Amino acid sequence: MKVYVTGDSHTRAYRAALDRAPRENVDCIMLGSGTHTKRVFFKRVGSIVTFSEPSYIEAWNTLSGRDDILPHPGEALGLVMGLHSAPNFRSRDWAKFAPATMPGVSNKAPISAAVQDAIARRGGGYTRQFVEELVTAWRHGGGRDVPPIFILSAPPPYRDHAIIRRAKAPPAVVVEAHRRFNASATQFFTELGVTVIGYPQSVHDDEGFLLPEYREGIDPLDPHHANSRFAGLMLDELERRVAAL
Amino acid sequence: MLDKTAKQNWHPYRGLPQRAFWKNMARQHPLAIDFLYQKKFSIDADTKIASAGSCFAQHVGRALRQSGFNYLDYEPAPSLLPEAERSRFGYGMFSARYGNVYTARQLRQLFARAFGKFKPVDEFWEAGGRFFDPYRPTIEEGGFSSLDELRAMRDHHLKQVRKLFKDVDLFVFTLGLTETWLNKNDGAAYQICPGTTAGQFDPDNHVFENASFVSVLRDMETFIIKFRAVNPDVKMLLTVSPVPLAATATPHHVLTATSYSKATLRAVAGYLAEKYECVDYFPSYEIVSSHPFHGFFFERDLRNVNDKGVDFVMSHFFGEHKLKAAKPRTSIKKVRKSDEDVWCDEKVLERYA
Repeated sequence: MKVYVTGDSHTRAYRAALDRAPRENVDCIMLGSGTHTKRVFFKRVGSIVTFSEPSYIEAWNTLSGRDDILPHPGEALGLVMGLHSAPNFRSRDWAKFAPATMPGVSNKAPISAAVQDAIARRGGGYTRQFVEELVTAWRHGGGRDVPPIFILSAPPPYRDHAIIRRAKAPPAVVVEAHRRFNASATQFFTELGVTVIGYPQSVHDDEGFLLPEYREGIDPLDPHHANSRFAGLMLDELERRVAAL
Repeated sequence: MLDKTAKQNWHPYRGLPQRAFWKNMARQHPLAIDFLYQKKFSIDADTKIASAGSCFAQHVGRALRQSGFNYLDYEPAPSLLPEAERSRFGYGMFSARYGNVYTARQLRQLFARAFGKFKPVDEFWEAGGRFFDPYRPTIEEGGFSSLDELRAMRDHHLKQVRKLFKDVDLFVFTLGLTETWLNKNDGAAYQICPGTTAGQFDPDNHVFENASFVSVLRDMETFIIKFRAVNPDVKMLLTVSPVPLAATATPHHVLTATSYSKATLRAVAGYLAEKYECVDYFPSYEIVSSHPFHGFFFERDLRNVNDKGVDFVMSHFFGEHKLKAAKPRTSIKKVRKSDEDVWCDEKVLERYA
């Protein structure tokens, strides 16, 4: 089965992983900056979904040779978007606020679980609507209940992130912001019938931070990306899931 | 010196200003009626202003914030929380997350709780695994996820309220209701009747009181004295909400019950403004509700105040309190002031009509 992997800037690590160790049936391209997902970047007409953002159209066409995005027979789609928690966890809010029941953060303004969930729901721009439209189009076209679409998780925050080092947000609060966001997005996509591929436990430490080896080769000032080693692990899991279809 | 004839003809109604005569006002277009408010003290751009009160007080607070006044918010929302969702969690409605403070008793109680002088026996309500603060039951839509969470949020809230009362220079309070539901055991005043938004009504523990002039005055004077004990220079601006009662628990018609409630609150506010140098009264009630304005400023439900009404009310306020080179203090975009933007717990009573 042919697997197309595409998405926001995290996709760069997947491209690097494939350049280093090509996989026969997997091809990949970065659509462009995730900033474009803050606006509607797609459109659906019946069972056809296409990108409306010019840079995304061009990239997708380069990868697939067509405009429509839904997997054709014999294809699967890996989307590197929708679980990009960084805009959430790196907010300066986390230097001032903390979950109400979290121990050791009594000097922060408490926020309730419901508020945390409302914040988590907010992230991701229009990626949730994009995937929702893909699923709608899939079913509109008479596809099976479960489309061969996989969402690949972005990595967790790293320990030395500026939000902790400079803005002094408590590490546990930052990890919790990431965890809430991921949980919320995962639930949303799963309920749509789309498979979410989370990162393996082996990539993070006991606190939940990305291990340093998955940042090697990345500019220390880069705010949230992992390296091709991380992407390689994600591709391994993607291939396993695709093989099981 | 007046000559003899002039002296004989003089009486206190001679030489009064135009505004003192109804006939003069009746000749004016309603929107041209002026001199309705003369400030008692000045407010400048550095004056730290906080507000509390009924639903209408949210309009007042919002107008102050958007007009460049130094409006305090001691429990701001996280910036990540979408603006459209903030009111669901009681953020940005007032200067802290106390929700609607409808009565003088509630205000007095809030102060006492903030300074650790009163701890109600009715600490929480539970329903379906969710926990509600009986004194602001809608502050978290759907309640808190655990009792620990409720307590942590409440402790922080009261700490911030305490800080607010100590720091504020001008406290704007809009009196809304006289009808109150109390806990029989310790007299704690609820924001709204238990069982209507959350909790369960219990006739053995919950009792209705329609506060009298004397009762409201006692609560307000107790509050003022205690407030000035911790913040000697604080000033207060009292208003009365023009929004009628959503429902009355008295045997009377809601119209006469509203009339009683507003008359009582108006009388207390006027009395306090006469008695205390530190208290001013702003006539938002009269500007919206008086018949010379023909009900222009009410929505079709004859209850909620429309945008024009709010603007007209505040134009009288800003006419007296002008800021030099007023600049918005926050980057908050101007938002609609319609009913949907104002959280009114009492409105829930309409469900039972």
